[in-house]
Amino acid sequence: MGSADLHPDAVLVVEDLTLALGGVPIFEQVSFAVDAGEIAMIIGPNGAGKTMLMRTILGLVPARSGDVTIFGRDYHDLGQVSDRVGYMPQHLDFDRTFPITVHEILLLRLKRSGFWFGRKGRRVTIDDALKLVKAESLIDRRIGRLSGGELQRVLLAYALLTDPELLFLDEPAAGVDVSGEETFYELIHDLQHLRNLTVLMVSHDLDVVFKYADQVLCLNKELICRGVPSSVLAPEMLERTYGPLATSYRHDHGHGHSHGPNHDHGPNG
Amino acid sequence: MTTFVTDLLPFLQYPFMQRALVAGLATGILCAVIGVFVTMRSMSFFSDAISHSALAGIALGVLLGLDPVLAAIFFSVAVAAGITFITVRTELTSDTVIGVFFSGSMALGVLLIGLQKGYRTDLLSYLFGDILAVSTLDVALSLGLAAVVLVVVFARSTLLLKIAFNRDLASVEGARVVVWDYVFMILLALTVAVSVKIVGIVLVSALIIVPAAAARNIAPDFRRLMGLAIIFGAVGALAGLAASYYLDTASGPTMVMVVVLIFVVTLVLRRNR
Repeated sequence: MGSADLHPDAVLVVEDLTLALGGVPIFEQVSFAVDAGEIAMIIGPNGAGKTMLMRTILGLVPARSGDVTIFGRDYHDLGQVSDRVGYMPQHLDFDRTFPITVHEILLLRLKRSGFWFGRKGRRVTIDDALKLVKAESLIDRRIGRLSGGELQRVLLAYALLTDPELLFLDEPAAGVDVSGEETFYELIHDLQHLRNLTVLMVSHDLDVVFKYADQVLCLNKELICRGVPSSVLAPEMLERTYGPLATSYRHDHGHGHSHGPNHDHGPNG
Repeated sequence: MTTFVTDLLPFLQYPFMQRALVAGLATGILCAVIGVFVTMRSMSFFSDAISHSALAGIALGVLLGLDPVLAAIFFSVAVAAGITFITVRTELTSDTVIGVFFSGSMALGVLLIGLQKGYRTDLLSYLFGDILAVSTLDVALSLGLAAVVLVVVFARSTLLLKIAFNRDLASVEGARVVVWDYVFMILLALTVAVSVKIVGIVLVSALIIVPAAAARNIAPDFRRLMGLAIIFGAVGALAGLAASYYLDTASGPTMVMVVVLIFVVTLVLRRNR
């Protein structure tokens, strides 16, 4: 029986995915499915393999074994459905001194963009995407001159430009201030309802996970648990994911306080 | 019309200068376009190694009785592929691998030249460029190769730019980044091959890097960067060839000096950024 039969509503199906780099296992036998219109969040301590899991699903790192199906297709054919998928990496590695404007970068995402000689309508599409993330004033700025928060918004506009149905976000709010973070997740939440957007996201912020996730995936070298936040974010589950350190973590929602056993903003593995 | 042009630019009455001018213009524009991507991908040292490896290719071609330019293309592509392959497969950094290939192929080139019987001035002309050595066939070859490279680059310019900007984003969007790495190397090797007769092996990479670097000093965005690099490359070729005629200097170094002069001017003009 194929994965599509087991998960008829699933946009993304991951089966027994295993990754090892240089003989060192990064994660093993990870299986889960994300249904259309669902926000799934991957949590776990530093070095748990969260970013690597996302990169493997996107075909950026070759898996040792396992299968990934996106829109019913094998993930090696991701390029053929690229307009239906948006990706926002955790860190964007690029030459900050190179003269490229936000407008030009966004043009690269569009097919038949009229990159060299301009094309009516394309500027409008790009303006709309930037408005969505409240970054329309950045259109003619050079991308290397943007602040961390501005760059994140432009990258989200880039990911949303083709009206994707499935969004991959790796620690999307890293480097954004607190109010920006709130706006960011509200926007994703709105898009989920307006466009039935499906999202797979890596997050370190358990408040965000509790508030927005439909499905939580706890990763620490393997998938420790998966389910709705209220069941997965129970203390015993967090201890299994994050280790004994998490025992000091008291879960007490509704007070709006900030917490999390892993609340640093450093690079996550 | 012809008399007007030859009155204004008297050196154009000589067929060899006409050929040099056409080939020089093609070279200047081609190098500038490729150079924009080379500098963006931080491949300046790589392009230097590729151009120097053409020496061994040319020497090999002469020794085996093959067309030197074609031999140079194959040898440069092989070196470029070798550098990429070894960098990917080992723990060595790319500049180390490039250094090995750079010196290795230069040594091989000099060694092979030493094996030729007698003193080969035509081989030396490849080192610094020689407009007198440009034949009609060379002009046709230059134009043909330049056209092929420019068509591929502009047809796929947004893809090349996207890969140069960020490989992961390009890959997720379906770009076969590794395939395009090899395609780009071949385009670079072809560019070097087109340019060696005019500029010479030693200075090809200057003509590739300097116009793009000068454009980068003053361009506000990528499209104008490309436009300026092309203008600088063309001006460098034309003014350089004219100056080399009047000053009776080697064509390659004179062209390079013109683009370096343009670079200095743009450096001064550079907006306070």
